[in-house]
Amino acid sequence: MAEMKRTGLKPGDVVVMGLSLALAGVIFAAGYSGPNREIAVISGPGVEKTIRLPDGNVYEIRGPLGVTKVEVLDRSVRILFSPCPGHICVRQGWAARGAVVCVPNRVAVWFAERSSGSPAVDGVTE
Amino acid sequence: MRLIEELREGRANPAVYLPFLIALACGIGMLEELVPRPFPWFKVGLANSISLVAIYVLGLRKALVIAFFRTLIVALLAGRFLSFGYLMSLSGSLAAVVVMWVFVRYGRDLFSEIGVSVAGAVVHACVQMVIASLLILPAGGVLVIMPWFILLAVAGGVVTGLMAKVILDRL
Repeated sequence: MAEMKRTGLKPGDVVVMGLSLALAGVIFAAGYSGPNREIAVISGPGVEKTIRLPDGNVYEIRGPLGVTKVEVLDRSVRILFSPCPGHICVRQGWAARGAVVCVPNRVAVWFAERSSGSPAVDGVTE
Repeated sequence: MRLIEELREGRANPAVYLPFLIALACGIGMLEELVPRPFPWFKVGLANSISLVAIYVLGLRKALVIAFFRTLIVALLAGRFLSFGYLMSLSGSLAAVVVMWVFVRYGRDLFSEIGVSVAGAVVHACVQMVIASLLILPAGGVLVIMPWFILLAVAGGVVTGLMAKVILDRL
């Protein structure tokens, strides 16, 4: 408590930070667990391709910055080439779960159980 | 006599400080625009510290006005007025102000500036991500980047809260 007085922290502050970190952890876990990955969904602005796994092709998606190349091999995906400045998506490498996202070029690849459609979020309220 | 006491006792006109705080928030916001970032929208959110100061000193309505004009002016200067980024920062900032006001109004004894600021930053991040999932990114993709945005929001919220605390202590 002496430490708290010195820094001006109050008990609620720690609760807020703890809950926020827990929220991040839960969302992280939700993104990385999940059902059998039967299909990969590659989405870009206005397009959504559904690929039945396993597969072994390179797909091209056009985004605002140019063409992003997505490689699917067996049950993994990676972004092979991206016109975005940072290339964070390319450096992320292969992913067999979760998703690969290129925010600047608005391309995302993720896994789902079957058929198309956005997974994980079933509703948004205001 | 300190400014904060003069404002509390009604001897200083709060309207005088509104444009001053808007200008200060815009200055900080523009400085932050200059910092390179890995993702678009991946910012510490230092300008929100002015919103927090305004909540403590001027109240909810003026803090909302400051957040509105700050996002508008910074977006105009940075050349992204009415873009997705603008809509996200506008809605995120206004939501953060409302949440921070609720924390200040009903939890002054429980939360210091830092806790209030972290709560505001996390709400800002979540609202941004909801807008992003509605407008540009698929929900699945948003879920993947969201934990990182929340982690940044907690860290940025602590920094922003400390900054607001420093400013408030010296007003």
